[in-house]
Amino acid sequence: MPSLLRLLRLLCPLCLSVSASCAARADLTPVVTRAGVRFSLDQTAARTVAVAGTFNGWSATSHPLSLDASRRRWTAIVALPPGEHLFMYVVDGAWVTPPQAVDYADDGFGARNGVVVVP
Amino acid sequence: MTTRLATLVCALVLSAVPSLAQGVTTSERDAILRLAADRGLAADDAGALLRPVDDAGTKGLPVAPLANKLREGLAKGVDPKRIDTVVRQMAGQLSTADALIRELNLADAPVRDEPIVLLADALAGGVSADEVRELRRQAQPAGSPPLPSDSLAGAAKGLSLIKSAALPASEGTAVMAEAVRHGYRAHEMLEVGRQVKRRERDYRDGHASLRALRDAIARGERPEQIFTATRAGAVERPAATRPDAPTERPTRPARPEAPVRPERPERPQTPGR
Repeated sequence: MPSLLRLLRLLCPLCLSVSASCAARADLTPVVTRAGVRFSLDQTAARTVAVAGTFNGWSATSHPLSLDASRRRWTAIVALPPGEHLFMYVVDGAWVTPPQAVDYADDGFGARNGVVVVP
Repeated sequence: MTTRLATLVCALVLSAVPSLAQGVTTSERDAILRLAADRGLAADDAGALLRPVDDAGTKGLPVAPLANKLREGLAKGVDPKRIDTVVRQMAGQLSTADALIRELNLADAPVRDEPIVLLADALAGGVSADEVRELRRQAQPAGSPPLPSDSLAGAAKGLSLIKSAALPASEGTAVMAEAVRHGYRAHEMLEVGRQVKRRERDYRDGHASLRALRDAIARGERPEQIFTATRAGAVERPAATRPDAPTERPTRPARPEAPVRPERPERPQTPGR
């Protein structure tokens, strides 16, 4: 019985941390707001982050993300027309597949683009 | 004689201009050439990359997705040969999609290029030309007016999403044909395909079925009604594909501070353990 309690005591923080990390990751899916699509990325160690996609000719510089007030998340709101848009993040010059998106599509070059749908 | 010949040549060149104008715009071309130069590509090599795009333009195919793919490859620093292969492959799919739309005698869409691009995307996603023909056969009862091309293209794209979840193409075709018959718009069929793909394990394990999905569509239900249960899970459903939901997520109330636990007293040693 004490060993069971010990096991439960060990598992509880683990479950809590897993669910907390899941909740945090879920927030990284681009969200459509009235102002545009809000892109978010957790890359606290990064110096520059930008979003590039079909909507900006895959420019790695034209839509930079900025660190939010808590300095824990990079965000940018981009006005996009209705439809499907493919995108990736550019972190310190490296192309990064979005950790969360409504869908993904192969880019034909060996990587995966995220999909964002604007209704 | 020379003047007449020159006039004829001028007329020919001028008549060719509009068809070239359907190709890549000058600003787009400049941007691609600039990007190629930044990547250290010689002007000739950059021009060669643009050739399949220009060829597609002269055939009256949409060039925007090709130019965009070209820019994507250059921006990502992909090997030019690989970019060329991918762009030519895309051009081939656009050509097949265009030919299929003509062959199936579909009604024109408000924007001509959209169904071609959507259908080409479906072909790239693994839907065969024969599956598109079968989809049209099931979706269009004999004697009914021609299907709108954007509707069939949307259904084909939805089918490609279902197929990417490794579910039977025949059942996916039946779902999409039902959706077309019930007047689903292209974006609704994409939504159905995407929802099935997201829940692919449920469909494979038998917790959800394409048959039931087809029945729901046949009853006249729309995607926002069919997938209500999934929509409730805000964690996996961003507002991006929830037209019924508020476009901005409400902010979560701040979590109360956890109470400080009192120090636990030392447990007395149990003898014999």
